[in-house]
Amino acid sequence: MGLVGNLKELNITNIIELNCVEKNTAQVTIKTRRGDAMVFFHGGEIVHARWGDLKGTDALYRILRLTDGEFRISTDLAPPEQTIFESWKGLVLEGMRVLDETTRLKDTLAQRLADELTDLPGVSHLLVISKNGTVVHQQGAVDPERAYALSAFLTAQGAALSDALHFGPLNYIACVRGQEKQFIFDCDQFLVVLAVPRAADIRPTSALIETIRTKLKSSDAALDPEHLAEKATGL
Amino acid sequence: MSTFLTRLFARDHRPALADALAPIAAVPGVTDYIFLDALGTPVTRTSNFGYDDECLGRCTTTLRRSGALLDHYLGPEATQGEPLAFHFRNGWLLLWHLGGAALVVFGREGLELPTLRMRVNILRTQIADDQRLQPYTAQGPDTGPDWLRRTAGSEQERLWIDTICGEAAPCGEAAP
Repeated sequence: MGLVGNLKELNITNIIELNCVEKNTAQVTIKTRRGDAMVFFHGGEIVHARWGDLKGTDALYRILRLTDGEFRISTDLAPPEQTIFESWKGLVLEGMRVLDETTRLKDTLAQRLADELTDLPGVSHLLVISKNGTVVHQQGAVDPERAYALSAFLTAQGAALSDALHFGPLNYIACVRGQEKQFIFDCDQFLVVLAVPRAADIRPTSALIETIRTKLKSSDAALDPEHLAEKATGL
Repeated sequence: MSTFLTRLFARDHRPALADALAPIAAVPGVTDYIFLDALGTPVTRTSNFGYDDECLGRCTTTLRRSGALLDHYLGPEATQGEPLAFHFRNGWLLLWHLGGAALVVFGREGLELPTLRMRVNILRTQIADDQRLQPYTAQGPDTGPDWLRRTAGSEQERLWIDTICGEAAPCGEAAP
């Protein structure tokens, strides 16, 4: 007997809970870009997990961060080995704690980015906004909804141009508005919109944003289970 | 002047336009340029342009859409003749609106932006003074909100356009 679906519809925590509460012996297989991720249950306990070269809890914690991918639950399949000995409730809680911590680190970095940019001379308005439109920081007279729409639109066009022309990643988009120069920086999960006097040198700001962008990328990598699996398997 | 006559007339003066654009190509760091008339048709460009026509068509449309939305956001006069600039790790893409026409400049790292800006301003003056060049920059087809929506690549893009330009009027109602 098998059950198939997508993690978008039934998340991995629910799948684990379902198999553990029902005291199933089963195998959950999730299809990812980096190969199949598998979790094995025996009598309602998680006994084994594998993804690429990762095994045991290392594999399980990364699998817990998956939010997308087709899965299949096959019941009554005996696990090939036992690499996990902890209780399933403790494992899920620990996995969620690691995930929360990494998300918090990212939010802190975005706030730090906003704090440092606010201190730059001449910044007349500043908006740090997540890619889903949540305002992280706002300073000065700017309509966040419209500024977000413009920035998201332009960075999407920038990405398309870069793909077509092989220009590499987008550093920033600039335009002039009266006596001000407006800049839009794409920091992966965040967009930064800032205005400085027209004659201002953007290089220090750009360098600062690049530093933060690198840190955000590191925290993104920590959040991306597929990236970690890739790293672990050396793919 | 009708669109057809504008284009017919414009074709006769391509050499004059190429002459006017030559100083742009000579700016240190400029690798290519392309001049699009008011219809979005490439009129003249550097001979060693390294991309095929399809890629070029897509990119110029992407840039024109970006410039058009920016105009809606800031107001068409706000940019004061300055470009919309995309700075990538491996180069620059700059878009100037010259009336209804558009000038797209490709640059590499080290592009002398102040020199380029100055030469584009000179070009703008030349266009204003030289009747042979004016038809290229006459206002062309509408690049307003409806055009932006029509050419949107996704529903998300349409939502962003609505946020900037206001939502489209329902069928049968006049746009405000």
